[in-house]
Amino acid sequence: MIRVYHNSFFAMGSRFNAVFPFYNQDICEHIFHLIQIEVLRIESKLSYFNPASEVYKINMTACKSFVKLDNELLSILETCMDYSEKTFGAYDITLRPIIEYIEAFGGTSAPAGRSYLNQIELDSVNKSIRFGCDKVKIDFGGFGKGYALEKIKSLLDNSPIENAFISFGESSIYAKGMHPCGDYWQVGIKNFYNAEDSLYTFKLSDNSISTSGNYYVDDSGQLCSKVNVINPLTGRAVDELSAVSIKSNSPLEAEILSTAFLVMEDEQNYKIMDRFKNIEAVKILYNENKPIKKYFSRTY
Amino acid sequence: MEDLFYINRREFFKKISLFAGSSIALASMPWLKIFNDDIYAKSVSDKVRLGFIGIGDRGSALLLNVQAIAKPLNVEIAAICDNYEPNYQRAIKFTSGKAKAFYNYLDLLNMKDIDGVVIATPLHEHSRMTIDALNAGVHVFCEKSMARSIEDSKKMYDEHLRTKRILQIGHQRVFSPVYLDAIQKIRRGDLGQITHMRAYWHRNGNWRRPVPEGKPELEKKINWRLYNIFSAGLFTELLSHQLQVANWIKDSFPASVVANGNLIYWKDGRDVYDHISCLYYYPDDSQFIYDSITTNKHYGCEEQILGSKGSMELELNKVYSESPPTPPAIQQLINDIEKDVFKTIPIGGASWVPETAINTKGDYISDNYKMDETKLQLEAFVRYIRKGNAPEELPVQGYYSTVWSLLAEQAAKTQQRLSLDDKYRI
Repeated sequence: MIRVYHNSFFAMGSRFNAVFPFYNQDICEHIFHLIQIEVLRIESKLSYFNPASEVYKINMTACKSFVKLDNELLSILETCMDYSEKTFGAYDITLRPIIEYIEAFGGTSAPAGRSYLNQIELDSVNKSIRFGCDKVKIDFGGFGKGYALEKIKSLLDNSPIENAFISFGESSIYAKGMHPCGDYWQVGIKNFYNAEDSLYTFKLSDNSISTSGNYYVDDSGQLCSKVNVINPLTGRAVDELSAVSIKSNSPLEAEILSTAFLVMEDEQNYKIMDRFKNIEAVKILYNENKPIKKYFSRTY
Repeated sequence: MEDLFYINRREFFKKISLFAGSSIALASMPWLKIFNDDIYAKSVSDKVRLGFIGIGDRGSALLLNVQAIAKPLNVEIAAICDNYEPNYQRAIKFTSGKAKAFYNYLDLLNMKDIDGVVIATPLHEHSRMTIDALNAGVHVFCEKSMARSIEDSKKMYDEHLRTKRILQIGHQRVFSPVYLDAIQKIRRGDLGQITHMRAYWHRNGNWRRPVPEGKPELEKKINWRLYNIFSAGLFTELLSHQLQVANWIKDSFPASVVANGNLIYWKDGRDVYDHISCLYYYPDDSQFIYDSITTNKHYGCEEQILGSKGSMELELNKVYSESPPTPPAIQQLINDIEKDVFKTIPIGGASWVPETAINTKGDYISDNYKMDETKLQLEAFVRYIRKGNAPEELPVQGYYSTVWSLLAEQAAKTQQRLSLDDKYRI
């Protein structure tokens, strides 16, 4: 029997799980501990909700004056701006106020709810940020998980652990090396209406999958709409019950694109794909009481 | 608009009615039964008349809380008493001059139609005033801690038994919905065996109240908490709160205590410690570690309950599992690897929910964290008066938290491991 090291902790709104086919107990524990420290560090920096986080402080004060940024946060913000451009505006970190409004008052949009990305003034020379109005709030959302997985990937690459399966709530996954009994790790997107059925199967080896969706399963087992994805181009919640899974060599790109693909039309998604390398995407629509699968692929 | 207190009170009563069906809950919190019986809530022909002795900061808070519930519970604040002129005048103002005002509490007790008194005077006065009130046939709500000495605490308790009058000690956490839910969960085994408890109360401040200019003779009267002759400082003012929680959770009382104390920062003439640490041992060998300081507030106030299956942070209203359920997909993956099987790892099925960032670490112990337990404990006092008695567990909790706090003070001063003398067991 192959022994397995498994451990978990709570971070970024999900349970983080690490599975290492057994290498050495002490080493596994040490690496897990390093991962935990790094993930919690990133969370405490990027959290929208934690009053002690840097993002929280920015959201509270950047509408009044420039707020200083450290190198890491400046780089993260520049990366987000870059991804916004590469996704034709589909990836946007300023939409949280719309979600909060809809959660509080219902509906599918908010008065004057729109992207406020153009109200963010990022001064790369002086390493500071300012908001053009008090409506701007930045929320990195799933970016934090993708960013953390990038760091974990690097950490594992510099460790003796050759094979690993890392999961944030099964929505953000990084798989290193291979399953002990296979040449890769195999992940299947389950069919909500038939748990035995995999709608699509991804083969992973040193790459990631990110899944974004806008539904949840209620206590009676029904799919229900969840207002957590806003189309920045319309300011409205995505109402079509759907989930997008993206495979990429980069956990961060997978995270960004799974959100972007959820809000964009198919044609736009192909255009986005043209700007990235080695992307595999599957979109599942549940509106017709049966899953409809759309597959997108570009391999260069 | 309906006052938030009444909305919360309604929710609290719903919770209590649920507890009524739980033998575990009522055995752990028998003082809540009173809320299940409406006949003690309000009786137009049976007005409860209360007197307030000591209208300092805490006394004022208690007075204002009772005012807030006076009308629905048919309570009259009949008398107030304070021998410090500013407090005396403040109390008259609070009651718009309607309550009879006294400088001497014995005059208040001489009123024939007082049903109960709320005592919030300096600690060293509690015993004398409580015993006099009980002997006057008056029910007593006394702020914690009970008394400055173990002997005086025992006398208060004994007098309450002899006079058959109510003695309720102000430990508001026993009426807090968060703590009530926590006890429920602990009793049903959610945390496993409780082997360890930690608590702390950290403040950054000199703990002083302003003394009127030109009246240095009032220093000890106003800042009584800082002088050993009147108070045990952090032991009786802060530790006793959290020790009561530890005792309640263990459903037991300590077997022994070691402690330490130092006056290392606020060297301003006070003689109580500004840093203390204590280690209590319970009969089952579990421990309660406590510290309180006055020079750093970063960690604030917390009680951490550590069990074999989980942990609780009571002030934060959080509970954590030691072994949260492994997601089905991860569990299947582990099983497959252990059995040399290569299969697809299923994600996104019916049990899967797309993640958002709105979750927080751990789970909440209770949804009802916004209730005002100070009002609830005062409402309970009014109801007990109307009923004529109160559950004995309340003064017992108050008594042991006081005497074990005072024993910690002695342990710190003697540098010995101390146990409670049999003659002080009740």
